[in-house]
Amino acid sequence: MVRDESELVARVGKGDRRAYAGLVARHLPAVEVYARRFLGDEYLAQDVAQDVMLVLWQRSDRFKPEKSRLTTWLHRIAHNRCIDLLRKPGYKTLEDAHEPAAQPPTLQETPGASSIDVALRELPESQRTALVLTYYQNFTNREVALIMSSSVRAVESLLCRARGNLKKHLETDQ
Amino acid sequence: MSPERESYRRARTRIEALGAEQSAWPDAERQSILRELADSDALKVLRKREQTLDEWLDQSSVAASLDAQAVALQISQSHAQKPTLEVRLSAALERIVDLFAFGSWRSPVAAGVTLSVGVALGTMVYVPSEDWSNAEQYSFTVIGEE
Repeated sequence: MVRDESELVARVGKGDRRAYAGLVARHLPAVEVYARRFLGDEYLAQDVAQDVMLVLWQRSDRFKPEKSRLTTWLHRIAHNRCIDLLRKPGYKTLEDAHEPAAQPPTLQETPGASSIDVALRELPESQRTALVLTYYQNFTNREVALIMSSSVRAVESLLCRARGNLKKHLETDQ
Repeated sequence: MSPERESYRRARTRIEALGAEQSAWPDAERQSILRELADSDALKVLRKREQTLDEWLDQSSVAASLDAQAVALQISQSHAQKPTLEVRLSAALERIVDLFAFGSWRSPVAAGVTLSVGVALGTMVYVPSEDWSNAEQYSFTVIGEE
């Protein structure tokens, strides 16, 4: 799969649209879901996911197959885009923008959001990232460390704290 | 810390960080964690709690909504690629070779083109606007000998 993907990426670099469509079909859903869990906003997540796929089309030569899997590289780009968005002055999700109250809404107020989505959104950013990448996106701790520009030990610590916070949340809910 | 305690501590940390499902644990440590679990009631209780959390986490249902095919088509048709200079040069060289060669002549022509480009670059001479090659490096006057 890895060798197969690096060949496809090389073909994308030469303008092969078919190879590109194949890679987008394989990776876009995961990147979009990751951005949505991270940002809590469907439309911003779609923007981030499309930005990442644009980088794959325009700058595929920056991908180094000997350093990481393609999915790790793409998630790293998505992660950095999400962080940029969160730290942008005046950052608001569309859900926030539609809310007349001064306090940003919780996902509990968002139709279709489950209590776990609410709890995830309330976690500190780094804990949420580590948990989402490990639990939902199935990355190893080493890959999560690469995506977050952190160390494996720090990722393990973030995971323990994230799960600890969620357990407290779960216990108070029950 | 004794090896037994260290092994217990690692098992506990792995379960706390990665959850109750053993497929989530690192392959190299799975057997050791299972051994620790078999010997420790405290770890069994911990795993049960983590299992409840895993079940709760599994209730999250976030689905992708973009049409991958449409996104790929839209991006590849409306955005130019931006390869690095190195990639562009290599592609240009390949195109030149393709233009002049086919079949068994391909390799010699590729080598010839590369060699010619190298020789051309190597023989390029920089002509300075002023020739300082014969100028004296130092000019000084000894005090008292003027």
